[in-house]
Amino acid sequence: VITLAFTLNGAPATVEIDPADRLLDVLRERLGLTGTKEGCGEGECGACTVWLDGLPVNSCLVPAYQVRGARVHTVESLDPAALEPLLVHGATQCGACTPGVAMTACWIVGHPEILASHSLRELLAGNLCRCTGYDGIVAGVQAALDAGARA
Amino acid sequence: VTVHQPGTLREALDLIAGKPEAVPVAGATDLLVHWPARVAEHDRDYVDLSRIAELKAIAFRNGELMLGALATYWDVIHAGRMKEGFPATSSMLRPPPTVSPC
Repeated sequence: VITLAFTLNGAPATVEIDPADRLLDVLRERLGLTGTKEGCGEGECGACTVWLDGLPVNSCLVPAYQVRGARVHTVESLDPAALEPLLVHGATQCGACTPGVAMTACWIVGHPEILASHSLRELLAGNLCRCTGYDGIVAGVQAALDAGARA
Repeated sequence: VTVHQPGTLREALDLIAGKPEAVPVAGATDLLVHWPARVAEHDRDYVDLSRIAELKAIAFRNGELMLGALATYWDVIHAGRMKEGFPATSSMLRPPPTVSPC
């Protein structure tokens, strides 16, 4: 058992972990943040996306011990109002991918300069939607970007 | 599972020399697919390399590109001069285009 200290959603967090624990499980089972979902558990689907030091990562593939001293943001840290465009554009069907999509979407909206070198679909490629509702997701993120550009 | 976290390459090499059976860990992708369900059979010493800054280096020297073993795709794609100096490598490291609706 090791003691892990890091910054979680802007606040200091300390938790006892096993060296083999995944960040995903520590967030959900030890820290009670169940907004982050497990999809495939092997880094393919992006349902468990969180931000690690400001970049989206699959939390199922991050050994929890590696986030010592790092900043982690989960879907619980997002402003619900920022997700309105996803709702309006029907970006959610069954909802399994939604927390991960929301994390990637809000990251893109926060870093619009990235669109100079990457297409929106390329940036969203790490988040699989098992309902295949990609057009709604892309439209929702584009609308959020447009709203951000107007603001 | 016991994880050692050396801060320098020298410390890592010394650790591995002292424990030749220890497994070096970088991104840990493959390990994390297996650890949760089958942790007993993976119970050994690991040397985590993620804190070793020297291994993350991306350097441009005399027209050559040097990529540290821990440099991520994202870091390489976005490294200065990558796109201009090494366009083929840069585009090779990007994810494949998403499947277009037919």
